[in-house]
Amino acid sequence: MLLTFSVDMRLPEKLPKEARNQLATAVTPPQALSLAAKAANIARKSAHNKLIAAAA
Amino acid sequence: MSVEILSVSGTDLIPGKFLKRWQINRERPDEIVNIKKAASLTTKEQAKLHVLQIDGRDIGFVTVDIHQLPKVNPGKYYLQVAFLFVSKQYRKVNLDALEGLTASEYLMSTVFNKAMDAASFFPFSNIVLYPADEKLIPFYTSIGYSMLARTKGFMFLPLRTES
Repeated sequence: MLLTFSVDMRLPEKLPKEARNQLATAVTPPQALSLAAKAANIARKSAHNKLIAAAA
Repeated sequence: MSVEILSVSGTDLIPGKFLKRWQINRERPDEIVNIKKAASLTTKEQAKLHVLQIDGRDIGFVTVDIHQLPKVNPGKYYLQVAFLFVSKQYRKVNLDALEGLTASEYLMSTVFNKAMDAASFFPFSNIVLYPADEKLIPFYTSIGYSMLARTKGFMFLPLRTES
């Protein structure tokens, strides 16, 4: 069974240069943006439905 | 269907009460430990805990906190996904209420959306996490996370769009 978990681990105090560069320059990949847009749309629809139900 | 992300705090995080809301894998006692840790971090106001509910049913939760980047980058912060948990029966299930997304995808995308909003007024530019198991790396990669070089398992997602 796949565990759906991340755990609380802090970044090490001394970050390697490669990691620092990644954190400083990488850009959001398209799949993250597309998934986020879908989630935002679901949240909007749900809020809209709630408003309609409250008004009915 | 009602899809809600609720911020949980106070007495709702009392260990026994909070634990009862979730279905765990009985073969993995570390799940109980981690749920308690997530509640405890939030109770101490060291993190924020957000629960996903569909039609009033608890599906999963995510706990996030903010940390300063190590001294080489003073004044810069990152958002850490401290804990991500989905009740056993909803794991790897594509949910109709989430238009085919899994609970994990929805929770992680909600974190991303909130982080992008906050990044406009707070100096952080990445989400960082440490997967509990190597088997989870493909999942996090599929939603946009990359391995952080030479940091033993850490993954990150930049909050920086191309201009």
